[in-house]
Amino acid sequence: VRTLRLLRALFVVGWKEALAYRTELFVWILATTMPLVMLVLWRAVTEEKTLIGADGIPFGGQKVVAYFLATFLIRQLCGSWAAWQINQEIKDGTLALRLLRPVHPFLPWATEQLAYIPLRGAVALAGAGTALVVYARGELTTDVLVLGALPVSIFLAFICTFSLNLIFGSLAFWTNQSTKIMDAYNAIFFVFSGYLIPVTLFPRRLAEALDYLPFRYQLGVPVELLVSGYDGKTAWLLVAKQAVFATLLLTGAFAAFHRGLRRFEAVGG
Amino acid sequence: MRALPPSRPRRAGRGAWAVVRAQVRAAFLAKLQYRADFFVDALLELFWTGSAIAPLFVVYRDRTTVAGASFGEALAVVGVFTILTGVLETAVTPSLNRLVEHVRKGTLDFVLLAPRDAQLLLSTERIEPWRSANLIAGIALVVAGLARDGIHPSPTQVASALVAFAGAVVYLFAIFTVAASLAFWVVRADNLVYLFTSLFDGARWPRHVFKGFVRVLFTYVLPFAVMTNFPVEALTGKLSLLSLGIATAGACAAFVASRALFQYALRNYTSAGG
Repeated sequence: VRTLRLLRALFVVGWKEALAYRTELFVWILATTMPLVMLVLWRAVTEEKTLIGADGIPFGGQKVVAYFLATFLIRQLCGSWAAWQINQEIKDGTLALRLLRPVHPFLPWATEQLAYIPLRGAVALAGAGTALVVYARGELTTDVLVLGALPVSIFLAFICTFSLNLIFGSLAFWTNQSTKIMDAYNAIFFVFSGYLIPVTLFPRRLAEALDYLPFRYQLGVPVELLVSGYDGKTAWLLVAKQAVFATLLLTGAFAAFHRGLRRFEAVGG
Repeated sequence: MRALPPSRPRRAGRGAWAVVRAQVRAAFLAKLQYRADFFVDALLELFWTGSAIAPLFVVYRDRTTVAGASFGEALAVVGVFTILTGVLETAVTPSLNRLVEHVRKGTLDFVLLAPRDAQLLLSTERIEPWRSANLIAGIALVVAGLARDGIHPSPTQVASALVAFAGAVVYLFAIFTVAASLAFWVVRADNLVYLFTSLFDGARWPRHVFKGFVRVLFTYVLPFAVMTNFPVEALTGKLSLLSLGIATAGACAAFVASRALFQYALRNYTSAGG
């Protein structure tokens, strides 16, 4: 009960902060509109010829609209940018203040990130959600099993992304290049997560290889569940794989942070 | 505490070149102390360049043109995009991010006390020479794109492309100056710089693929697509003199407008004190 009360308090603090910086939050949302640009691009590409994905599902017409609107929407629901904050706190020594508190630093970082999601989600739902229903309703899944898997998948996608942010943020214990390494990871993430290109449009071998890498589980899987017409069994299998990755990444995050903590010496006092 | 700057902005005037030279030299010397950064940054730029061209291979996998643009042309557009990204990351965004930091911390006062044009000082305060690795990668992509299509530009076409490229750099500087100027009113203006950087990512594609609102946005409002496409169109002989003239005039107008906004913002600056 005490932990729940603590989580609630941390969430409320994060929520108030999100509200205080609502203009900046809106600017941040606008900065993640690349899927909408990709929508226009892929519409032009598929207007000439519908593409067939590695899974045999055609990609063209309303499917393109549905896919990229869903990508934009779901990124708002599972995105995390904690690495930059962690990097900053390690560099300027303010992590020391967090360590003095009787709560593991991962909790406040997680709740701060989660607190921004309702506001980001509301803005995205009002725009992209409405557009999805109006322009591409026919492409959205109606399978109850898939719809049940969707929120679980979005949550696991957040855990994967947040854990990777923790790992890359923790690299600041060893190097001052940690945000650059995160940038490099993001460059690969944008290509292989389904953010710029649906994973199924890659050559079959590459698409299969991506099953064993974390990118797709950070974003592509929940998007696919929403628009790719999977059956319940396929959907839950993907969610199970996502859960494995989330567990591995979170364990890796704990290991990286605690190993790095041994090297931490607070700056100043 | 009210603003420290003088009521009328100082002109760049005489000695501006000497200031620029000294600032750039100081920025270079500061960065030269961290030589290991070069290898990390160069590696990261390779990743970014790879991520920029990877989608092209998927898009062009089973077709020769997309919206009238061949693979070679699209590759050359990515090349110009990469060069402009290099310019942006080497000379534009580091200084503008520093400006945002100055406003937030209140240290802008020290810059304003200097007896030189504030915009000039702020625009040349921080340089990331290692990011210029993009320039080499970008030029290589442009050459590869043209070679793939068997295009050998004439000296006039090369000159037109250079004019279009210079205009693009001026546009880029103007747009990001506007973003940074907003730091005087918005607390987290670094988000704005990030927003423009993200939107600039859309300029890596041939401009004819964009339709409707996005086309209007990337052509007239934030002419990112014009900036990356015009130099390539000039090299391939597809750019008319009129279009080049309009784009150049637009770049000059954008620069004047951005400078006016910056000076206006400066006049309204209230020190954070301290």
